[in-house]
Amino acid sequence: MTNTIEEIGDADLIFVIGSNTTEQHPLVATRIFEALDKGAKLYVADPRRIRLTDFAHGYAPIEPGTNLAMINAMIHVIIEEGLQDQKFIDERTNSYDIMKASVADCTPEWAEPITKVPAETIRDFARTYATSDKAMILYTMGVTQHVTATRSICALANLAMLTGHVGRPSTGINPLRGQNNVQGSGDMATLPDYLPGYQRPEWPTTWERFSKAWGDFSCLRGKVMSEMFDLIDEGKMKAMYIVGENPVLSDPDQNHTIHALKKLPFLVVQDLFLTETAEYADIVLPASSWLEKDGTYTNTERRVQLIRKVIEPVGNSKPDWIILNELMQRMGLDVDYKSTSEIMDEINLLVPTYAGITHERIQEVGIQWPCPDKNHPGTPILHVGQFRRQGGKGLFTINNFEREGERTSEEFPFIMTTGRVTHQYHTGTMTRKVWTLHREYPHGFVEINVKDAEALGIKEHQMVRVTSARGSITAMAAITDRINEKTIFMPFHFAESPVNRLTGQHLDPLIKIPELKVTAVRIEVEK
Amino acid sequence: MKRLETTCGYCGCGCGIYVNVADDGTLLGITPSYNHVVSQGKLCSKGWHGFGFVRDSRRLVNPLVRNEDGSFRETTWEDAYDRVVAGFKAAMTGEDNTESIGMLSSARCTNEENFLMAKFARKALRTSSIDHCARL
Ligand code: SF4
Repeated sequence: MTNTIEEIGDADLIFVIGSNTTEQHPLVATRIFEALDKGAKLYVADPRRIRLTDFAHGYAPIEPGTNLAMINAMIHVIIEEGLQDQKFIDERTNSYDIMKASVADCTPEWAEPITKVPAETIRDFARTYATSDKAMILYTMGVTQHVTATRSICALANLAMLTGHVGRPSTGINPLRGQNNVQGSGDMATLPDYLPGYQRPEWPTTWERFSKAWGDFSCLRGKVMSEMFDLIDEGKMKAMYIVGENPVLSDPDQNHTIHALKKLPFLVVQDLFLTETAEYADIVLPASSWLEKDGTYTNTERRVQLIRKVIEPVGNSKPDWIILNELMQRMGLDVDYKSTSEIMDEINLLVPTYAGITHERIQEVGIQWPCPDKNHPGTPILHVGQFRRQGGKGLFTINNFEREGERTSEEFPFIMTTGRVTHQYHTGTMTRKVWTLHREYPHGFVEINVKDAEALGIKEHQMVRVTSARGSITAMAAITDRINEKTIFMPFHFAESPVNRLTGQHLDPLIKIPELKVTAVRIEVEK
Repeated sequence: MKRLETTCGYCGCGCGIYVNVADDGTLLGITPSYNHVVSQGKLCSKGWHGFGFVRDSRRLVNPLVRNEDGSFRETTWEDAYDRVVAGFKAAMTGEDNTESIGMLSSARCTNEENFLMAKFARKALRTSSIDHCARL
């Protein structure tokens, strides 16, 4: 997030796109309601009539996979009607004219048949966003799990810069991170194309800084998850170490994942439970949970907060950091971390944005990065006064919309989109073992529009079969008028209705995120 | 009874909680942190109830290795470590193993653990192929 969660409560307009906030980020949603109580407006774009739409002043029933077309059309309207913040554009940005030319044809009338959002609604979204003083954009996987992920996010950045809605309180572009430490694990670069602190391996300064602390190490651009599975398939990748992740349920195209894991000569899995992925391991290491260890998490507003050990590790399990320390020693490295705060000391040295964040300083309240030194108070709002690019100016980008990725066909006429429900979490490894949570949603389901259900002769709670080009699964029908026609929704928590058996391998060309939100399927009553 | 302050481990909101623990280590329940910057004394159902998995009987309590017949058997940490190290070493092809060894880390682990995983991959395994599920 460029801004903080607290600031949402003071916004004049909140534009939520591709985020089911009340279900996935309940305590962010409470701030939206706080703002509404103070008179704010809420605009929502989502293929499902999610709970927030009951309170929304504007709603766009957007077709999955077409966010970019809608955003570009909003930009078109703002420029056409002269609602842009010319002062901000002149003083703080570059390449405005090129971007302007690129959306010249993106009229709301062009976007309407693509997005299924009425042109007038797009105009209303554009005008309200541009003319509100404090306007915040909130988004999540509904924007990112698409082939157009990078371009959609860049287009949202265009939208915010165009209207000067960045670098001030209650504005900005605010991705809500799903898992507790998505932000932190990115910051710490468990990523193939960065070293910790988003430092590129090919930058000479990166090698210099890290080799001083680490000596010799692999400083290349590595493979992303889907490429690793391909390498296994080709017989090149021979070993894998999976910590706290369950790709059999969470990755697209489950059959491909399982095929690769079966073929892999050596697999180590480290987790709390014998997960669906651990079933394919050669060795399983028992890890301790977040109640059994110390350390820090970084929340979605970049706030680094302490977690504390409240009970001893269960059984003979060990915290991941201790296992890693002991394994490093056995691999011949000269390390001996005695505590997580000692690891943080090394992070302070190597990651400039975390340089001033020590365990000692965050005993009471977490600090938001960037925090360049030990006297720095942290940075609640990014891009105040200048951007972090060289020269300090924001760069407008060109993000053309094209139809690509998965498309519906006669054989597979429905679009399936996926997501979560409040009471469950991700692949359910933990929440499905808590009976008070599990009883709320004990099994998978398929949300389908009333009209479609009628046409297919599907009754409420009947078992239905959902089939894509990759596989076929069953789940219970949940008939509703809160989802677009020809669109179905399924949660991905449930091993017995594994939606990722259906999802495909279309990737965003730049960041290689899979298009989990759009899968062409057919649906029928299970005989 | 002890009341220990920590951060909810489920979603990116990062709510503040107190965990109430009996003297014998039994987890009694959660109290929201009233002054926390994000949550201000409120929590969602996962924050209130989500700790119930911790002492679930299905938790792994010892390292497991695979038998000839495909089933798992429990083993000691020392034995497991020896096997892990031998397995990784066998997969190493030379100076750099970016194509031959992969590592997947978790957005559930702490910053410190993720940092060590980046170091473990790039330094101990000599591979740059490390990824996590923020892509998903
Ligand atoms: S209490 Fe709920 S909203 Fe808060 S961090 Fe935990 S899961 Fe997220």
